[in-house]
Amino acid sequence: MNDEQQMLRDSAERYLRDNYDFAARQAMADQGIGIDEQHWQNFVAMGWTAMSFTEQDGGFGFGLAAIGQLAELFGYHLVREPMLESALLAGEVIAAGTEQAKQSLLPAIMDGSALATIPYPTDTGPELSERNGRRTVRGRLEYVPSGGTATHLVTPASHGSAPAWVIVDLQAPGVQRQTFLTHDGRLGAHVTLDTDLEDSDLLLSGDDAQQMQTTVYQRAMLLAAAEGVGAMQGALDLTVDYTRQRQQFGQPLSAFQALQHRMADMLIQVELARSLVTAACDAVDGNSDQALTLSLAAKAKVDSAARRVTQEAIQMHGGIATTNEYRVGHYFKRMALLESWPQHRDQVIEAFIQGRQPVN
Amino acid sequence: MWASEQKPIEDGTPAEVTVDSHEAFRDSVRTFLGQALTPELKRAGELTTSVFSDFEAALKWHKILHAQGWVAADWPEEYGGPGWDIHQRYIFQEECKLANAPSLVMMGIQMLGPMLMHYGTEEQKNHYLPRMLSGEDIWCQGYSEPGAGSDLASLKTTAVRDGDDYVVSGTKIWTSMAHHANQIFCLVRTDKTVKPQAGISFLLVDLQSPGITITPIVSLDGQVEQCQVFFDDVRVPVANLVGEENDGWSVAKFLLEFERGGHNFTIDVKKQLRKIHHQAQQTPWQDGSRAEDPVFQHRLAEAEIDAMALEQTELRIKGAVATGGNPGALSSLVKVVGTELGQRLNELAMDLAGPAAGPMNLEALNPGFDGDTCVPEHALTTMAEYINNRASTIYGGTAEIQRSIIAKKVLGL
Repeated sequence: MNDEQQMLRDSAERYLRDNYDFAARQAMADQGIGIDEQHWQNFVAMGWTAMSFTEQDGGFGFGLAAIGQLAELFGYHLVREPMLESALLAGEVIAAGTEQAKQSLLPAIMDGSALATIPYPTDTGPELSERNGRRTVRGRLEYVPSGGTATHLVTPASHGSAPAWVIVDLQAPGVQRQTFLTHDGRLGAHVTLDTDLEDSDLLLSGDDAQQMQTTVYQRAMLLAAAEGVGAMQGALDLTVDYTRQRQQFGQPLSAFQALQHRMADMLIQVELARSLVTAACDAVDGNSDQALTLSLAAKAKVDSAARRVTQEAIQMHGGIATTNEYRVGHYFKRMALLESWPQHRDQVIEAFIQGRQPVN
Repeated sequence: MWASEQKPIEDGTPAEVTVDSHEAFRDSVRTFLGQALTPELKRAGELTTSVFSDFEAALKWHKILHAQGWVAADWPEEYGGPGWDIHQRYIFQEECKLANAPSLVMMGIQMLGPMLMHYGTEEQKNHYLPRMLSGEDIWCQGYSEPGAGSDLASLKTTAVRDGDDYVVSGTKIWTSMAHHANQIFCLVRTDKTVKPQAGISFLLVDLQSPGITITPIVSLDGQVEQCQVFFDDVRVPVANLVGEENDGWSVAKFLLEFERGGHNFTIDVKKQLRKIHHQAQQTPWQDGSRAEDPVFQHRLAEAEIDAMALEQTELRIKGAVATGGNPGALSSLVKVVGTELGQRLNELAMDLAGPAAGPMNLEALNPGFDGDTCVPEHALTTMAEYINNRASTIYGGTAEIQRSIIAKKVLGL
């Protein structure tokens, strides 16, 4: 880590540790509130919503090595505000779009007044058409992450047979949302679109749009993996602390070797996953030809490791971990849902097999 | 974000082993290997089914490397090493392994050597280090006893001072290569009245000394690599004591770190993966080969992903070591992961081999053999490797001991 990355990490760690209270988070999630406005404003004030954009665009130009650190902390502190989706995924697509689109949309992403998200990958996406001089987008997107919280949706679309990316104002007429609370304390939505677009809402088309499919979902995969490393570390730390305090049979649970070895295994899994995520972030930043393979490996590794680590965390805590009030089960729930984002593990491994270099 | 008593695993600067300045070095190693590795030596490398290759071939290779000045890759120049940095050492190991060079008998140069540099007297260093380099002395390790395995501190072989000698009695077991060695380094009890760790000393013993008996042990694969060594009132000069009397435990721990930390499991695993890919391509399945079987592909991919995670973790350690850190408990982590992954790869190879794993082929595993074998070449070593690799999670501190070290030193349990 260089100094800038270290500073970013330290300040984020301090803020989240001192302010991101788990009980308050839960209370808000239980009321169906998608984001904590106070936190959201502070995230903006700390520059997180601008971190990945270039300095010309008004951002700070951080690469994935730094962003990954922040994602890891989000995982550790169970941050549920869709900051990563908005600034780092949807924002990535907008920043690659037309100058007009950038000028009208990026400032709102950076100042937090707009909160954008992207859907699960789709083969074609909604359909774009032109009629009577109006550009219309029509279609349905299901299980949009934080779709119930977002103000905007950045989505792949098809323009005839050509791929495109568009941004849709989710408050516009002709947009319907079926919003639901998800098990990780967020507001997802099924989104049905039949609405008009401005010229500046067409972000990318043709080959650029096709390329963005790969880029943005690879980034999504890696951010999810980084978040997973933080979540696993959180689950492990809680388990270690808890087993030291909890007395049974006249001694702390942590004195039992059967449990010590299982916690050692949790640590092994966390560290292996961390090594791959760090290497993948560096590879993406350095445009290495190993970037995609490492990203796929990192996501697949985190998925399997997180299952094991978060399940073990619950098992070793015992009954307390099955309550919604206690923190550790929330790592389990978040990781269970991240397993399929943006693709399921089997698809990730299939892509790994197709993409790896032949062994000679 | 770390709980107070937990120690985060420190990262050093990222260790890139493929930076340009090292590519020229890699080329020079390849050129050398291309010339120095005879077909016979390569065959010995190919037929290696455990950590040891055919002894004669290993010794030949040792002498070739010595002539080149490369036999002690990890040693500093002042003791006759090449003075390579950590990346060069890795590259050298990797290239040797992937070129099928025989494995060297490592107890002297890799384990005892660095320990003598640290704890030995000038006389000990001057006498023993050059003889290790030349291959004149072959060392074996006398740690475990029939009654002292993981609980090594309970060892019972005694050394009683008598004038300028110690008189050693007892027995050591799992002494790899003792039947080829002429020297043994031992942990012996010199004080029975104190707590077990505090009464142990470290002795160098000439295996030609009167009173020593070496009994070979046949391993599950039908071959001999291990022995039991019996000491019956063996006289050992006091000058052969390393470190202080009764301070042998710290000497031994230093040495064990080298046994664990100096090894690059990624290299072994890469070689195994390469073999498995080849084996899969040679193994019929439907109209093609097992390499096209999606179920097999998926299992192999999962192992490859873990191999990549192991590699990146080893690179993190190297980064930490290069910037002056100590691998510490991370060496336990990679030992567990590296050996257990190796065993998983053995299972994949077994699944490919099927019934071809059955025939023992003891003669065919000899590098000089030129007759017919009754199994395909790709399956010749599969079962022996599967068998012998069971020991990898036992020697050098069992997987259970490693997990206890992680629990204690990293998690603070």
